[in-house]
Amino acid sequence: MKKTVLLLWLVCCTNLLYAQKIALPKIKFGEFNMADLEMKSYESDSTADAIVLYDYGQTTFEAKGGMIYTHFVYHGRKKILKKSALDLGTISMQLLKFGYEKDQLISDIKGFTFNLENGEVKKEKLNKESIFLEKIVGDVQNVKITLPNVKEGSVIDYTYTIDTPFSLSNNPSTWTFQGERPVKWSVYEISIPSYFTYRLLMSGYLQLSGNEVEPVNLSLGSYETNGLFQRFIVKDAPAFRKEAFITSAGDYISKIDFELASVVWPNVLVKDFSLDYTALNKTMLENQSFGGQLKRTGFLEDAAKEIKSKHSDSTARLKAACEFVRKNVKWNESYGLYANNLKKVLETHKGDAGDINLLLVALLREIGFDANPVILSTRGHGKIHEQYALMKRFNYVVAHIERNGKDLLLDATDEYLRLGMLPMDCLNGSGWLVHPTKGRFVTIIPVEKDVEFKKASLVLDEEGELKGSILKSYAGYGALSAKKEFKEKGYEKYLEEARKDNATWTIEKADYVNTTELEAPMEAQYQVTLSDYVTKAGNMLYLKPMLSEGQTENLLKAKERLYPIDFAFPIEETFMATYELPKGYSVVEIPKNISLNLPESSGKFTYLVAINDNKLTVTSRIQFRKSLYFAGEYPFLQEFFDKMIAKHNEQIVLKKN
Amino acid sequence: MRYLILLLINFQTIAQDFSATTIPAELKEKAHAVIRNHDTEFYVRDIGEAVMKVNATITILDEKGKDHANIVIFYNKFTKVNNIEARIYDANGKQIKKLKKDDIESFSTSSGENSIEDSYAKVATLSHNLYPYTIDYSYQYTERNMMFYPTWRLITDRAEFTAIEKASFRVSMPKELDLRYKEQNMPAKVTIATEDSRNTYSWRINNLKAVERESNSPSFDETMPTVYTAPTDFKIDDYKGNVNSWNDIGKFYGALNADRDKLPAELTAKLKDLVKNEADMSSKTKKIYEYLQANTRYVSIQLGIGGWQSMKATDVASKGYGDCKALTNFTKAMLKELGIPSYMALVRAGEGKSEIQADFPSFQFNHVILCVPMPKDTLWLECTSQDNPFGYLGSFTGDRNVVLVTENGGKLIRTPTYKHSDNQLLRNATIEIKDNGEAVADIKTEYTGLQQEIYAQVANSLSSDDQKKWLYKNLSLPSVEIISFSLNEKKEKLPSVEEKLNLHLRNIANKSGTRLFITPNILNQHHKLPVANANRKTELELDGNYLDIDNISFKVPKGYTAEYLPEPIKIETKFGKYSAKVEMKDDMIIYNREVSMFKGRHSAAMYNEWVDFRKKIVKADKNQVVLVVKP
Repeated sequence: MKKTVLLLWLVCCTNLLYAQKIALPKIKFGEFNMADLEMKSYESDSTADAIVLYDYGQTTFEAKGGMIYTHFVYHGRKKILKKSALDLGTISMQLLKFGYEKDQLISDIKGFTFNLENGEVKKEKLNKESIFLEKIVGDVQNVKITLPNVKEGSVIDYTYTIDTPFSLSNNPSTWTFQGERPVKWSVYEISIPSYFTYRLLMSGYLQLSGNEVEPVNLSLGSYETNGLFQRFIVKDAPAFRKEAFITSAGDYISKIDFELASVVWPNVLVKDFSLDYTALNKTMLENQSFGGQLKRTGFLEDAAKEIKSKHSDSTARLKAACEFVRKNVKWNESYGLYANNLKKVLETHKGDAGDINLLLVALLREIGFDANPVILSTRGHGKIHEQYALMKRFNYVVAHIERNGKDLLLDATDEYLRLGMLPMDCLNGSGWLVHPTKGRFVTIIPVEKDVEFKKASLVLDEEGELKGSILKSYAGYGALSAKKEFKEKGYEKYLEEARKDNATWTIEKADYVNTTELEAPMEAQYQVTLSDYVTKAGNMLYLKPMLSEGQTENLLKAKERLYPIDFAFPIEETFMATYELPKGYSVVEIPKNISLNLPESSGKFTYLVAINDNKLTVTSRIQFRKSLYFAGEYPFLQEFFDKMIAKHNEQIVLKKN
Repeated sequence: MRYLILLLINFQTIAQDFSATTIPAELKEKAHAVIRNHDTEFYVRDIGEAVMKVNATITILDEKGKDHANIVIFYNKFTKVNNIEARIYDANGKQIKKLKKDDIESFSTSSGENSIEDSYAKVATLSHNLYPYTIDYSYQYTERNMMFYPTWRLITDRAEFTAIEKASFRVSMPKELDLRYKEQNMPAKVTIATEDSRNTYSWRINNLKAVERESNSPSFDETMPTVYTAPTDFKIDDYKGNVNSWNDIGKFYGALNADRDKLPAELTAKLKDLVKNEADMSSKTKKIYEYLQANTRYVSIQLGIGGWQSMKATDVASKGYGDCKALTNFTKAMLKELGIPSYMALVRAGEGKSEIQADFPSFQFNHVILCVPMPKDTLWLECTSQDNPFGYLGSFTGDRNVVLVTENGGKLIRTPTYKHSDNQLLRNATIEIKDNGEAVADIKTEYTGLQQEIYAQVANSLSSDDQKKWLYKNLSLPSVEIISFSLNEKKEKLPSVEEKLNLHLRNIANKSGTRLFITPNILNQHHKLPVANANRKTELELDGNYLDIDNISFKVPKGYTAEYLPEPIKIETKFGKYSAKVEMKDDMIIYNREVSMFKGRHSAAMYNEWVDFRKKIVKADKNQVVLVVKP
């Protein structure tokens, strides 16, 4: 017992740098505060359409009928300031219903609406008929509660209790201190009997205003035990606002998470769960839907034999293994970490990322590679924590082998992923290699860039018309998206899109090359007549040499930026055009050559114009060498784009001799 | 604005020779899937119950036909799904899989957090990794909501590129009940067989080639073979009704919602007090509408018969919320207490929704609004929105047929139409260009009618921070900083929003050596173009209906003279009009542009003419002015 308590304390100390007691507001359910009712707008945030006056949650553990439940009591009080917040009057929840003893239960739903009418306070009670428990469909039951007479100026006050059967995966739910609307008081309390050890993890940008921990005596059914009571308070949390180019709001919002670390039950059971990454590693290896699946790979023996007999080279074998999985199992567009039955996945020809990539690991092992799974979290799902092993932070798995001392990560969900290339959404920092003896973090470095290369060879006539060819070539992540789009649309639709995007082009001929080749860049080749890039005025011709391939709009519009700018992978864009000028014309004015660098050479833009007899060549090259730029680099990036736009919009002036 | 969900019997996905090799070549042209055999039977047991049976065999030729592999059956309190069976066959017709009970999932189709509904769907997906493959399925359900009979249409907007080998539809009626139906684009008329005490109506389609929906063309709802059916006499719950006319529909709806418009005496007194200083009907109605908007909120509650029967007005008064029926009935009740008669109107709401079949009376609606006849004019009220301007219907319910529920039954009438000049963008802007190419812009734009809707929505639903973000996203200018902005609504019958922008711009004028290039139409360029098509088959449908006027003056740095000014342009077509001119006076460049677009429908032959018109606009919008340093 002593050990458990100590451990929790340690966790608290490392997460919460200080402990501080502050006075709690005196807020009782069903009462009201005149000042709240009279409030017309919120001082700290005049744009708020509602504020959360009080957000209170309390979790305890209870034994009922031989079962243990996490008992969660919620009390919320909210002020409606504008009509756009009227939806707050309907409270919507989902209960998980896995049948009988595994059902989540809701009880003690109570609520009031307070309105100020002609100086008088009107208090209206939530009726039973306004509580809607919908039919259970699948494993889910929707619960809707509609409070009476909610309007501009109302204060709503409500409470409910949810009991969740204790299980390894039903951790106390995440408590967020911050949301769409400002929160005046957010208070969360949890009392944990010493039988259970939970890891508590704070994250986000807000500081705790108060934090208390004290040992307490608790009872769980007939058992009396000691345990820990903890309280977390955040005062005056601002509304959370999302910015562009961030991975997932969850990486930035302030919250507290729980994950069961161990259970020590009197005289019965002692069990540890993913206490740290070593433990998590062990749990994953022992999990029937993860490590367990990789023990039975015999059904892949024939496939492995065939691959081995066809290919002797190891790279060719890796490619063939990926191709086998891709061809035989269609990805259902879902992420996932686990597989229930790999043999069945192969038989039914469909599966999620967990099914597919674990199958790939199994096949690689059967071929003879030392292949292992790497678990990670996708960009939309948020970052993993390297210090804390929280299982629910992970939502994706890929295959890993080590070659020449380097990590090689493999994914077979998408047919256009080259060997070692992961889907864009997987490029999210790092993952964990699940391995019996050598478990460790693996840095996820994109092995490919987003590469676009465009080449135009055009002849200009005296009327200002351009005739010739335009070639666009896509490699790396550019090829991935171009090939996917081409597959989805097909030749005709893809061409139609190209016509729409380049409204003024007359495309006489279009060819698309390597649209399904995994290894080669995809090319779009057009024969065109262009009448839109040259203005003719008397004996003058003004040529826009970047055609419509230049940068025209700075996407970094906000003045300042708090978070990093995350491009996911390095970017490279080259445009090269050769113009044959009409006879008798000479160049009057051309843009100056330029070469721009971002600090520490993390990006580069070069623009060159050269004249050779009657041939004019324009070359523009843009490189972003990093995947991620820090907030401090934002002004440089913004200016970089601005200068690039200015250069790209410059024109060439020609005059008849 | 939201609307009630009517439960239309849905059989969008349909689903026999199980081998893919026997499909005639011409049916594979352009097709991603071929409906091999499809049979729908609607067997009406009596006035209050029917059994729907669907059998389908579909060959999915490639991945893009995979939508056909989903079996979706919607159900609710009135529907009982009896069984679903399905099998998958490979290209040679060999069975590879049979659907198991576990493969069928159920979902709630409730439309959102703020809605309470008892509608669900059963879904099964019959997927396979090798194409082509064939699926064969059947299901049946019992229906006890007999307000609705099925609409039979196998090729919907979501099923482009689908061919039909054989398909049939039967409605079997007891002799004492009449079937009403409407055929549309059907290759053959109905055949009616009489046996024992029943009449069976049958339709067939054979060998229908796959088609692609062309851009700006009428919906498949209008162009594909369809059979609409409807009851004459029907029953739902304990309510009986009959439909032969719009009048009957109004009668049924009126009876279903009769006597639900009483108000608490206290509220009546309050309302009378509220309007005591108002002289005429219109201003009284406005007061009531304001009271409604300030004291109620929209919550969608669609449970059983409650999908069509409104909550009582007394309940809305005490709870302060309701769905469209409830809030409309409540408003009607309030007006009644003041002696102002009004009528509920059934409408198919939604922007761009296809029109109801005006010549085929049946339940085709998803929303209710209120019609208040005035001495001179008619007022229309949308009762589910807290910020809709008084008397404005807009794109959600304007310009369409509705059924008015009067004491004498239903009446088909049309809601107000907004002319192109009602939907205006009127812009006046001054842009001062500095020596370094940077600029400061003062822009005032007034949007009216349909054009103001999006701006009004932004003004009403977003915080000022988010409004700014939205403006940034929608200003397609090279490099822009918003120094200040405002959006002001004028809530009138023809509402408007005034947008004021003060911007700092970079890269607006391009300096190349001694020259300055300016594209004067910086704020309202048309970019996207439809693609010309010499083989256009379907009619051209144009939705746009507006007038844009842009007046922009540029003050340019001293010392420049015009080297090139584009010629004035004027284009007039039956689709719309365009004119633009640019002048230079001293150091000012003055640009005027006027564009009108007309809503309408044109023959397929006119399509390329329209593309040409659009092309000319795109080109003219990019015209540039060239200035050069004075020698």
